[in-house]
Amino acid sequence: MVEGVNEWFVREILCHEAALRRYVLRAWPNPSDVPDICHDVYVRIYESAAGALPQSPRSFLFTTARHLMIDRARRSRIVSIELIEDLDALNVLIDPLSPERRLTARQQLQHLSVALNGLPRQCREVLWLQRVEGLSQQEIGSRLDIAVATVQKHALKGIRRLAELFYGGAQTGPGEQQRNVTSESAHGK
Amino acid sequence: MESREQLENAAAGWLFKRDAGDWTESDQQALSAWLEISSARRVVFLRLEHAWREAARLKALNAGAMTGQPSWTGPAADAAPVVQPRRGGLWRGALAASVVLAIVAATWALLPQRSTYRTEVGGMRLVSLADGSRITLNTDSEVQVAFEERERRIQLRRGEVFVEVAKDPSRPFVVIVGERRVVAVGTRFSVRRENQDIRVVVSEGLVRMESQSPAGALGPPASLLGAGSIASGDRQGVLVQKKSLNDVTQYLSWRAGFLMFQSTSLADAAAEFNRYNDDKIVIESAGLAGLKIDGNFRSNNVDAFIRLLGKNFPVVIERRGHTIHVLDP
Repeated sequence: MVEGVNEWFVREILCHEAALRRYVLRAWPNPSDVPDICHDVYVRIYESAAGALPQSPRSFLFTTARHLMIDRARRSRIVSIELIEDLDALNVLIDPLSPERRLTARQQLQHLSVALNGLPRQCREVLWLQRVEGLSQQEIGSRLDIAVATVQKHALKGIRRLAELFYGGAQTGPGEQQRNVTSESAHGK
Repeated sequence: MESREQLENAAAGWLFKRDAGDWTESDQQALSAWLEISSARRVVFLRLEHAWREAARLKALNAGAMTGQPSWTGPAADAAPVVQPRRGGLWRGALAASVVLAIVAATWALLPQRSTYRTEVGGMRLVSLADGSRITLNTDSEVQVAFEERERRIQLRRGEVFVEVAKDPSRPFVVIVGERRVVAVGTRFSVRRENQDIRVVVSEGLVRMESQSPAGALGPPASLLGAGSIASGDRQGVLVQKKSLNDVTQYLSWRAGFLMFQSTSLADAAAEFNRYNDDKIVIESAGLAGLKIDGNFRSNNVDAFIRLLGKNFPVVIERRGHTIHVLDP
């Protein structure tokens, strides 16, 4: 792996995942395609960054996402022609509401603990014991009284889900709806 | 081609294996070989690896770094939540050593324990308790948790706490605010304290609010609060409003870092912001104070609120050090 690209990718691209998801979600008719589209966008970006690192990562990310959606829509026969026109018209950037912010260490921690708490109980316990208490798989198994294979199963699910929550801010609980509500509008009545 | 899900499972498997002991040189080679195959693999791996590595920061949470300073005292200041056992001697060392996080400590629920949790202005903190219950502290709050054989007790000394109670009919879960007790068996609710005033918001289940009068004394009668209830009480009595669950959400939006206003007066909105921020808003005009506000804001984004206020209403805004004055033009 090329060290420089990897670090760049984590630092400059992954931090926009929440915004990217919103962008794709707004433009693409089928919400269940969103994770795959984001993944394809990442692969494309990663591959082109291997040549030269883009100057402005955020707009490169959104431009790539738009192109990719257009390609995908053209390939797919189900998607209507209007969608393609919409996508063509969809000019970057349409995410003025929540400019991505670098989180402080404390905010990151808070973010993580919220993510961790969003996991199903057993996933959370396994991740906690491994990540925070540093137990081995066997130790975790005997502590929770489950088979090592089960520990692994929870761990895999937990790691994937933790990443979802960590990048996407996909909150669980009552905050969920409010995250998507257009924020910051004040008017008198 | 491998699907994203297959890749994620494989990458998560590598990560877990790598950090769960017994990672050998040949494992490392196998991982490198796996990654070599495609950019798709590398991208998926990098993404999960970063989140996974970041998760190690939770150790800091465990050590109380959330509030920026240790929020308790005791023999094991580096292991949170710290339990201050009432029994000394042998127990003490054993307790301190093995209490790490309550999620695995089912047996703990049986021993008396006490711990204090705090947040600073603008802070929020989630705490999992020994019995499986969880509490979320809002800004500038402090609670003491005491679990006893017959009762799980939380004393709200300051601020606001949201409680998700694990069911245990034999041990009611009680939040104590001054002289009032808010009792639940298995439910979700929040309790907020401002000096002697109390507000209870119930989002699920049933809660009983009663007075902590000495035995035999005649206190105000207990109130039963169902889901959707918002009860406000002071020394004299309790006012209960029935709201839709949607309205209740507004009162709990702080858990997601938001303040939601619906026809909220500017005075109340400013007071709400002031709870979360060091820069305080002062409304200098009685006419403006009654202005109704709608909207959602990040609780720490006073600036956005003030900016929108200035843009949409005929007001003058003056910053003086750490106060923001809102005046008539």
